[in-house]
Amino acid sequence: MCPMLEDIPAFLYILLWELKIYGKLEKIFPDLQIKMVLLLTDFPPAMLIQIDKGDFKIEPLEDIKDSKDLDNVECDTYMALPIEMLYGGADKILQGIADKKVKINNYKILEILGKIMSVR
Amino acid sequence: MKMSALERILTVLEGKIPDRVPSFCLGGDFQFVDNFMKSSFALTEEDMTQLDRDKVAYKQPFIHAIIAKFSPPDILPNGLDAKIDLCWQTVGGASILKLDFTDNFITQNGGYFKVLVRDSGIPHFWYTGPALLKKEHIKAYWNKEKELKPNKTSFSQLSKIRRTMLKKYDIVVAQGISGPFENCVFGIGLANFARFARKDPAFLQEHIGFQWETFEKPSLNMLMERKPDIVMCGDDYGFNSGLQINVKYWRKFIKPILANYVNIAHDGGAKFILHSCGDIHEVFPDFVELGIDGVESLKPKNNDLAMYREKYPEITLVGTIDDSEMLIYESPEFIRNSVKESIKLLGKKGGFIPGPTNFLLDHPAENIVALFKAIQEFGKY
Repeated sequence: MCPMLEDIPAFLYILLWELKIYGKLEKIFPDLQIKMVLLLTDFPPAMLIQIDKGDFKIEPLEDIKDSKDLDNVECDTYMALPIEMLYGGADKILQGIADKKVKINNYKILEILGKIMSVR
Repeated sequence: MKMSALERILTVLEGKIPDRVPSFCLGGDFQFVDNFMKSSFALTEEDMTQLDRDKVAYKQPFIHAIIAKFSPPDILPNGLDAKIDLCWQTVGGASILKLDFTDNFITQNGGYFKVLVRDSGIPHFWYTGPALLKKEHIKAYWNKEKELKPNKTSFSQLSKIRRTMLKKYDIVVAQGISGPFENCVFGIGLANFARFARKDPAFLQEHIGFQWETFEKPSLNMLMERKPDIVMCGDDYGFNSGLQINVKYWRKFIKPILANYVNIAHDGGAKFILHSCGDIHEVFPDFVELGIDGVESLKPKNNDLAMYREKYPEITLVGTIDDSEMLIYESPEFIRNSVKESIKLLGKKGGFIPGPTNFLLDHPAENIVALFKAIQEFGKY
């Protein structure tokens, strides 16, 4: 039996799963319907994260391995960055955007991931 | 006189008789959280409002929010009244390394750690094997010294969690890091450990010394700066029938570092509990010699608990309630009777903190509630 998700997408799945099982996902994002793409440049491929009114889905995008491919993906918001910047939190990401080490098309993804990661 | 959880635990670890037998829970995995939250005992909106306000952590595998749910109603109005006195949390191992010889993640100890989501939708993460299989891998890992250094921030977070749990929920959080055996063997593997121990002991010593100096000692020092009452470190020495390595190698390579762990904890005024799975009878006399205050896990099928109680009264026995079969398959009534017997056998002279022998996995929630209720019911002196 193959696992449904592994590694980085599974890490992110855990964060959302924990919010869902405790009923917090619905509370934090009651009406949110969004498709976000996150690419950790040192751990490709990218992943599609869908949040839909208290539920969520994560899917690896096997063909999206480089940040230049992100403009071709159908989504509401995307971001590509190295893992250490994601770990480093908002300040490090903002610095990375200023230094052009982070590719982002709008800040919605940052806001949503920030909320997800800040839950205890 | 009714004691606080901290007084109760410290009294037992000092070899004295507390007001009642305290209880312990190591934590739980995602499957248990799923079972629990789908049971009639699940955290309610009202519980979570209080727990969120108090900033209690929900994260696996330490599940402090679920442990707090077992509180009496004067602490949590919808509490299960099956109080847990002692739980656990570790720090360390959080660094993720990239080394040239593999595309996979490597953790602080040099092992692979897999995170996955099963078809059922329930996630799981666990150690899956050693990454440092050759000497050149180990040397490449040594070159990552800077990235292996512990992060001070995680220790200050740990301290906040410990104080909150004690102050608001009367639950003691024992805190610690991984032990020297796990750190070494998770990285290089048992086969390499055995090979180096025989053929290149200086190299093995150098690797163990590297891990001690690079992250174990600095981590313990950072932990002790936060003044924990109880340090609890995990280091699984046992298989089902004996040690994973020859006892002479355990004494030569591991025991001196474990002694450092115990001494740092004691010098900082804390008690030291060791979590170690499997049959560990061969090293129990060494635990006494090192001054270890409590040993946790102690699956009854693998350990002669009555003998430990009789022969090593200096050491508090923590855990001992079989989590791999009884707590999964038996009925709440069976569990109640078994806890009664355990307390009768092991707890009448103190020195006993019962709880599941390991992390809760696929256990029915009602069995775990039955376990902690039984400790309350039969844990009176």
